[in-house]
Amino acid sequence: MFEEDLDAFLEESEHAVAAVYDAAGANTAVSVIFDQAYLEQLEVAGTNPAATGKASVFPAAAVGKTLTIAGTVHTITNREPIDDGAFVRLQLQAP
Amino acid sequence: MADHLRKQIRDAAATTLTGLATTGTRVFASRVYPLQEADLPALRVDTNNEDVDSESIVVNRVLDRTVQLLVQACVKQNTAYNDTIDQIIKEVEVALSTLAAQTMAGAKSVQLLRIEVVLAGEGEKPVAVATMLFAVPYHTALNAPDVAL
Repeated sequence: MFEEDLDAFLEESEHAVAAVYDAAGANTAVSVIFDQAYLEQLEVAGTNPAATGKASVFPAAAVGKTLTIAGTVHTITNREPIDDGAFVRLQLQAP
Repeated sequence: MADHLRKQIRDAAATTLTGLATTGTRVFASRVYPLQEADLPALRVDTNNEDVDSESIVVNRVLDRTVQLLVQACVKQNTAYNDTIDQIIKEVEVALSTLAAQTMAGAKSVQLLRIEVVLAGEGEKPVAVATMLFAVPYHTALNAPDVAL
């Protein structure tokens, strides 16, 4: 049976970045793909910080936990499974 | 010739609403570009649609006009955004209730018609916008929309 190597998509030498996931007070080093695209809401300018990571690392209980990227502590506000659910896109709230 | 009374009313409203406790000097009249985070919390002020009626058909007849005054409260913060919105609404209502505001630029009154609140949570921080719609009646001569009667 074909087994996916999900870590190959999260190489920090390529387009992933190092992050710290604070799950229930236990800091865990993780790799995620971080995006911070421009987003305008109700005619107010801003960005849409989001991180893509493995679903096994970020279970449903990740919502409400924090993800620190480049020293910025983000709160995970939503978890969106992508395609087959192996990866999830985490919506992040800025401090 | 002075400015059209629509502009006089809009400018007077912006002046009246400048310096409120929560929004301070962050009052923007007829702004078409997105607000930046440094601009917030803020008020956007504009004059919108206008109903015009006439009770006669003489040449220099008087027009009964009611312009819509829009005041938008804009907030972007992680918590208590709705509390801040409600506080701004209170400050705006109080400011526009004074005699000077009710008769600004020759208006007959300033009547609050509706409040709509919209929340958005897709971005880095929640954004809340309350749109307050006021009716501002005034009268002009047909040939002098810049002079209140």
